[in-house]
Amino acid sequence: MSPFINRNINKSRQKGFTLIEIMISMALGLVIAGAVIQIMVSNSVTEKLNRALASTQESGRFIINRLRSEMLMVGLYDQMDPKLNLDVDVVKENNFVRNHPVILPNQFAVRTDLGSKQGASGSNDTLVVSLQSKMDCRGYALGYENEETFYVVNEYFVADNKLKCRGFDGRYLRGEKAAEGHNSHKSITILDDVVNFQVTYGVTDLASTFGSAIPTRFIAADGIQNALDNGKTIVALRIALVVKADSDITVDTKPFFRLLNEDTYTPSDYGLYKLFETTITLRNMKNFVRSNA
Amino acid sequence: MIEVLVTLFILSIGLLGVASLQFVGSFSNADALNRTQAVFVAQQFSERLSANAVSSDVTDGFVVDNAYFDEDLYNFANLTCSTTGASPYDCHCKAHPSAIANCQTGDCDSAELAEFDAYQMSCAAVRNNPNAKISLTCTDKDLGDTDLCTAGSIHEVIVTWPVRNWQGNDRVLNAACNKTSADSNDCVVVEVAL
Repeated sequence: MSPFINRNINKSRQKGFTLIEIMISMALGLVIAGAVIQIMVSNSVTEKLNRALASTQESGRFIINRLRSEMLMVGLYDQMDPKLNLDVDVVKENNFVRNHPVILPNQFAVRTDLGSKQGASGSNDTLVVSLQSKMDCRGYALGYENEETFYVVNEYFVADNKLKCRGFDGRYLRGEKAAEGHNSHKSITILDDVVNFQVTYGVTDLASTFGSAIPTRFIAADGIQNALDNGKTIVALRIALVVKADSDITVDTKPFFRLLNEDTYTPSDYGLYKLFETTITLRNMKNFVRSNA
Repeated sequence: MIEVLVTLFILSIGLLGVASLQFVGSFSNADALNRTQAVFVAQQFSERLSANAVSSDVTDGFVVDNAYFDEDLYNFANLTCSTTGASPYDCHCKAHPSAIANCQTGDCDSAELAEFDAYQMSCAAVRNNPNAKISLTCTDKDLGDTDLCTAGSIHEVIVTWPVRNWQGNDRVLNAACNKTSADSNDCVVVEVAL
């Protein structure tokens, strides 16, 4: 009995919000919700931009470091290396590698198309280099025993906006043995979203540099043969590439890039693009040229 | 009623914090990007120095051409911009200036290579950050000889760019980047001996 009465008494003492109060508090609630939504929107925009910047940076760092570490060894041939596979005449091979750090088309009868090429009117270049290594750029040992070193020819090129690479056994290319373990000469992608890839080659001749073998000129792949015919040697590489951010953000103005010897390049859309460039001195080649003085 | 006002007040303080977090995040990201790009420029320049090392006439060992230490060659000091107000990159880097030897179309000697490298590296520095400056200094082991950086001395490649404190965040400035106390720069230093 008594609880029922008490409740009734309490209820009559309660007061609700008036309509005006509710309207005002709802309006204030709307302001708060609006502010939160605003923050969220700007948050996602900034986050997208940050992610785009970070992705270009990451790609650039990765590819520059990778290409650098691979190119530093170009022209390496150590015939005294205890791990070198001795199935072929290594003296001849040594001579060949040191004189062909960069491969030009028509060098090898089995693959006449394989070679460094200059892309016509600003299109992507192809880079093909020689070195002694225990694996090609894909990590394949190409039929050799573990840790055994052999003559590797690596090819870097761009297809479908991807920087790809594949390696060959130089002894197969020179017709000294059959190719093994090459996975149908398939290429692997080493970096996505590469829209422009350019290479120039620093050439020297001993006489005009007084034995210092400094690169006196940086030429494109189509000028190499002529330079070689004039007694020059490649002692440096310069690589430039433009990477697109892995995000669909847009920028207000299209940037322009100058990649090495090429004319100004402007990307086709308003995405975020960054240019990365590096120079690699081929130590092996420079010392080889100097030692021939 | 009053509850909503209190909520509004507290939330607005919180939202301000979130908004400033955005700024701080973006600034740090931009800072990281600047630093990465500067590292690439400095690294490439040091590589170019070792590519262009020649044997010294006076000592045993390798040196770079004295022209590399000519400050006028860096940061476009030897070039004038015909368009006022244009950024250095737009002004000088769009086309190769005729005043600078082009080592891509003709053979260069070591002094011309220095000029070419200084120009290209200055362009690389301002490509990502219009305020970046590049310099090459040397702690010369032997001031008496004709080599400005005697063989075996340390070459310092420095890429600097100005920074600013934001909202009283105390930024610790590195003395290597700031010649005078009035400067407020960040930098990347690469030391190389040839």
